[in-house]
Amino acid sequence: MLKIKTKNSVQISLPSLKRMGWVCIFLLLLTACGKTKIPASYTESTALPNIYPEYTDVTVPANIAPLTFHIDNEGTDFVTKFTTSEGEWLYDGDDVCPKRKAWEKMKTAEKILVEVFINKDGKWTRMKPFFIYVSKDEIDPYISYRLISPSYVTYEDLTICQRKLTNFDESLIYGNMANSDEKDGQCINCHAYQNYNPARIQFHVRQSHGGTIIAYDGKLERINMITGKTVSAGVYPTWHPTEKLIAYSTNKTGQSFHTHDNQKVEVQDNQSDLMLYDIERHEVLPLARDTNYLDCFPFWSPDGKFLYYCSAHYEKIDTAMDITKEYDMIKNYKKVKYSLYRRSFELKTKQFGEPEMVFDAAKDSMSATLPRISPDGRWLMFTMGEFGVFHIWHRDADLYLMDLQSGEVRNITEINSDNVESYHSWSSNGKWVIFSSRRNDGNFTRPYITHFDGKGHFTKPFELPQKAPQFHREFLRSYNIPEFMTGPVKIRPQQFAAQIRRDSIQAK
Amino acid sequence: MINLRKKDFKKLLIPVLLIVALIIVGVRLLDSEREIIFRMQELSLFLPTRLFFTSSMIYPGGVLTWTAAWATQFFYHPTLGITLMLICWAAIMGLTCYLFRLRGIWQGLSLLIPLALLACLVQTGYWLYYMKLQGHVWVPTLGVLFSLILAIPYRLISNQWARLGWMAAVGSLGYPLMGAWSFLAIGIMGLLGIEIDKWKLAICLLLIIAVPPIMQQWFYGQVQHNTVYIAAMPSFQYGDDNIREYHYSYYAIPLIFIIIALASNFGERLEQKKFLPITIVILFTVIGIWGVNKRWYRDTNFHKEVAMMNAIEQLDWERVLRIMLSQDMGEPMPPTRVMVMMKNLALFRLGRAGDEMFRYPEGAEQQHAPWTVRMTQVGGKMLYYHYGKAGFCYRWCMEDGVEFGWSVDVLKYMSKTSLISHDWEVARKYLNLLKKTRYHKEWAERYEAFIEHPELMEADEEMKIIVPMSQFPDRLDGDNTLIELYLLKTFANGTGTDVYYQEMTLLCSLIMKDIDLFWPRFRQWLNMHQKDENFRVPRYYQEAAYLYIMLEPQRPSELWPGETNAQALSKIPFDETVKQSYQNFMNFNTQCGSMSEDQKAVAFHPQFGDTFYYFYFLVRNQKTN
Repeated sequence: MLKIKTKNSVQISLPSLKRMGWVCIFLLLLTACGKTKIPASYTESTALPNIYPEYTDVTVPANIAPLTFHIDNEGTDFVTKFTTSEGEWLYDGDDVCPKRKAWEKMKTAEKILVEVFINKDGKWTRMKPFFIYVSKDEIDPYISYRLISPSYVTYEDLTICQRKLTNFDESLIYGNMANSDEKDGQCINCHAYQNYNPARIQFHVRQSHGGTIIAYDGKLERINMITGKTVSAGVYPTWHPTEKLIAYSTNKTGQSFHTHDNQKVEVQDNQSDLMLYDIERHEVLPLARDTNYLDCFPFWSPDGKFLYYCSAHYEKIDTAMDITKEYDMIKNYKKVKYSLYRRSFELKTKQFGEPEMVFDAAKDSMSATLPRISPDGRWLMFTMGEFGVFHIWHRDADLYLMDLQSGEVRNITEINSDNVESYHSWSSNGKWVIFSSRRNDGNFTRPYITHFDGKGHFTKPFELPQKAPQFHREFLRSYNIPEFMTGPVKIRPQQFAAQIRRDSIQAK
Repeated sequence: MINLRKKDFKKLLIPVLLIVALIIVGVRLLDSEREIIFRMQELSLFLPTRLFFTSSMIYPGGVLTWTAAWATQFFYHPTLGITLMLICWAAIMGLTCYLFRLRGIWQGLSLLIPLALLACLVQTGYWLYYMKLQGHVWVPTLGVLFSLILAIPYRLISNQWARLGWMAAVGSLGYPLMGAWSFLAIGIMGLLGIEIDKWKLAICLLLIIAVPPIMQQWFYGQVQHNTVYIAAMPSFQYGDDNIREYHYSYYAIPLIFIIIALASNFGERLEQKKFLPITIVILFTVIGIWGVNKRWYRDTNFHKEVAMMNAIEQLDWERVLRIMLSQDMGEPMPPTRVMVMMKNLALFRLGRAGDEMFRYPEGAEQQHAPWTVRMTQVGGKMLYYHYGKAGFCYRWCMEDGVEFGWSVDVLKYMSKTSLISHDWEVARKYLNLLKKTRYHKEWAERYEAFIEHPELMEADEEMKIIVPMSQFPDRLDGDNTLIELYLLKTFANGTGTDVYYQEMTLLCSLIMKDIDLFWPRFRQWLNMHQKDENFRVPRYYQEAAYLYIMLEPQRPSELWPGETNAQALSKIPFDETVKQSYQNFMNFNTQCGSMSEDQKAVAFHPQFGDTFYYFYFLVRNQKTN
C-alpha cells in the first residue's frame, strides 16, 4: 500500500485518498447537477433588463451564432429563460450564453421569448420580458473586417480577419506583422471583394513591400499602382460586379487633431480623384478632374453601368499666397461638404460619362459619403454628417437611405444612434446590412447587423455576437470595413505574406 | 560528531553564501532602482481575462510572456516584486546545481545565471518606454526557470528513447509555450552530459530546427518568417539600429550554462589541485559582477525623471522639487527638458512658479540612449494632462498603447483625459479594465465616481486645476511630436479667463522671452490679481517687466496707456531688490564686456543664475525633444 508522507509527517493511505477523491467528485457532480430553476416567487418589473449587448427585440437571421449577453443589473443571482414553441431553456449567472444545440432549436421558431429573473437582496424580480425575432432570410455565412486600434499615426498588429457568422470562429486573412519589423513597418487596408466572392479579393499594403494585393480565382499578384498618372496609388476600391476591373479613388490624405473635441481627429483629403484599374492588362485609367473637386468612395451599381461616388467642391477660402490649400482646408474643415454623384460606364470603351448629381447634400449644408447600392439596385445607403469625408470620426454621422426609384431620402432612424454610424455593406441577398457604429463608447467601432424588408425599413440592429458576452467591452481594437462574403478566403495568411515579399508588377 | 558538524558547515557554506549574495543584490536593487521597478509595473499590464490570455497566445512564447506580465504586476510593491524575483533566482541556482550535479565550491558558479539575469534587468534604461515584448522584465528569469524545470524529467528519465522523445516534445511543444527559450531548455538537456547516440541526437536537433518554421507556416500567421528563432526574445532594434550591447546579457546566459557544464564534467579532476576550483569560481564571479556593473544603467537624469514622474502621480509636488535639486549619483549633469518641465509643473501647481522657476538648474541634456528619446514617450503625456490638453494626452496614450503595448500608465491617462473631456463611456471602458488588475482597482474606483458625479472633479485635488484649464475653444492642430514647444506656443498665444490658464500664458511668454506676448498677459494677470488680499507681483514677473521696460523705454506702456515705458517706470512699484539685481547684472556685464557668451554664462551663474535676466540673456538654444 502506497503511503504518502506529507510535510507534517501525517501519513495518509492511498485508499483514504481515493475515498476523499470520490467524495469530492460526488460533491462536484451534485453541484453541477443542481438544476437551474425559475424562482418560486418574484415581483414583476416593468423595466427591461439592462443587458449588454442590447439584444432586446432584435431580429436575427436563422443562421446566426448564439446571441450571448451579460446582465448589467445589480443582483446576486440571475436566471434567464428562453421560451419558444419548441421548448424552454434555462441559464443561470449574469453571463447568458445559450448552448449551440439549444440555440439551433430556438431559432427554428419565429420568435424567442427571453425572461430575466434577478435576485437582489434576497428578493427575486422578473424583468420585463423581450423577444428575439428570427428571420427566415439567411445571412451570408462570412464577414471580414480589419481590426485596428483607433490610433492616428502608429500602427502595430493590424489584421484583416474573417468571421464565420454561424458560429464564433474568427481566422486571419492577413496580418501585417508577418512582414513587419522595427525597421520596416507595414500598414494594410481596404479589403474588397468582387460580388462577395472570397476567391476575388484585394487589399493594400503600404510602406514596406507596398502595393495592392489582388487575388483572382487562385492567381495572386502584388501590383504597384503608382504610375505618375494619378494623385496616389489606388485607395478606396470597388470591384466591377462582373468584369476584371476595379475602380479606386486616389487620395492625398492628411489628418489634424482636435485640441479638445471628443471627435479627436479630422481626416481630410486635400486632393482626390477616381481611377479604373484593369486587372487583366495591369493598366491604370485615370479619371482626374479639376483639383477643386474631391471625388471619393466609388461604388459600382449592381449592373455595372454606373459608378457612384461622393464629391466635394472646395476652393481655397483664404487666397493669401502663403496659405497652402491643405492649411486652408484645416482651418475651414467644417466647410468641406460632399454630395453624391454617379457616372455612366461604357464597358466596351471603358469610358465614363459626365458626373450626374444623385443627392445634393451640400445644398442642405450636409456632407454625404460612402454610397452603397443594394444588390437589387433600388436602394442607396450612404453616410451623412455635417461636414467632411471621414465620417467614422464624426459623432453626428448617420446612415441614410435613398430610394433610387422615387429619389426619396430618409434618415434610417431605426438603426442610427446619437453616435457614429459609418461604413455599411449589403448582404448578397439584400436582406441584411452590416454597419460600423461607435454607439457603445464613442471610440471603438463595432459591427451591427440589421434586417431589411425590401421596402425601405430596417429592424433594430444587433451587435455582432461574441462567445464571451463582454468581449467587446474589453477589446481595444475597432472593426474596420465590415464586408459580407459568401464563403471564407482560402488563401492562407502565409501565402499572402510570401506574395507580398515577391516583386510587384508595375501597373501601366 | 565534531567532524560531522564541520562537514555540514562545509556543505551549507556555499548555499548560504549564495543566498546572502542574492539578498545583497535585492537590497542593492531596492536601494537604487525602487522607483524604476515601480514604473516597470506601471508600463506593463496584466488582465486576468480570457481575451488577455488568447491575445498573448497569438505569438510563439505566449505562455511565457503571459506569465511574465502576471509577475510584473507585483513590482507595484517593489519589495514584494524583487523578493519574488530573488526566489526565482534562488530556484534557478538550486535547479542548476541539481541538474548539473554541482558540488562544493562549484555551486558558486550557479550565481552567474542570476548575475546575467540581473544585468538583463538593470540595463533596461530608456528601453523601459520602448520595449514591445510583453512582460519583458520577467521574461529572461522565467525563460531560464522554465527551461531548467523542463530539463528535470530529462535528468530523471532513464530510457534513452524516452529522453529523446522528451527532448523533441520540448523542442516542438515548448516553442508555442516559451518561444526561443525552448531552445535554451534543449541546450541545457544537451549539456547535462547524459550519454546519447549521436545520430539520435542529430535527428532530434533537426526536428528542433525544423519546428519553428513549420509552426510559422501553419499556426503563426502573424510571425515574420525570419524572426521565428528569436520569438519571445526582446528586440533591441530602434529604427534602423539594432543596438548590440543590450544583447550581451542575453548571450551570457547560454554561455554560463556551457561553463557550468564544463565544471560539472571536469570539476572533479580539477579538485585535485587545491586552489584551482576556488580561483576559477572567484574569477568567473568577478567577471560576472564586472559585467553587471558594466551593464547597470546608472544615468542620473533617467533615475530622476522616473522618480519625478512617480512623485507627480502622487501629487507630491514638493518631492518633485527635492528630486530636481538632489545630488547627482555620478557626474553632475544638466537636466533634461522633461525634468525642467516637470519642475515647472510642480512650481505651477504650488503657485510658486513666478518666484522660483529660475532658481533650479536649467538645461537641455539629451537623454543618454542610443536613439533620440522623445517626450511623447517620456513624460509628455503626463504634462499634456496636467496642463489640460486632454486631446493630445489621449492621442499620445493611444499611439503608445498601440505601438508599445497597453499599459496601466496609458490606461490611467486615457481614463483621466476621457473624464475631463466628459467622454464618459470610453472612460468607463478603460476604468473597467483597470478594475480587473490586481493593484489598480482602488484607483479605478476612485475615478469611476466622477462618471456619476462630474461635479466632484472640481473639488478633486488633482483635477480642480486641470478641468478649468481644459475648457478652451476647440481647434484642429498638431504638435509635430514637440510637446514643449507646442505647450509654450499654445499657452503663450492663448487667452483665457481661468486664473490658472492665464498664469500659464504669462509663464510661457516669459520662457519664450517674447516681449510682445508678455505685456498683455502681464496686464491681464495684474487685473485678475490686484484685488487679492495678499496681492504681490512675483519676483520673475517683476524682473521681466523691469527688463523689458529697460530694453524698450520708448515703447508705449501697456500698463499706463498714453505713456511710454520710460515714463511709466517711476509709477510701477518694483521691489528694490529687483531693481538692484538688474543694476548689478548690468554692471557685471560691463565688467565682463570682452567675454564670449559661453564664458559669461559660467561667470554670471553663481551671482545671477537665479534671475530672469540671466535666463533672458544667457540661457539659449535649449533644444527640446
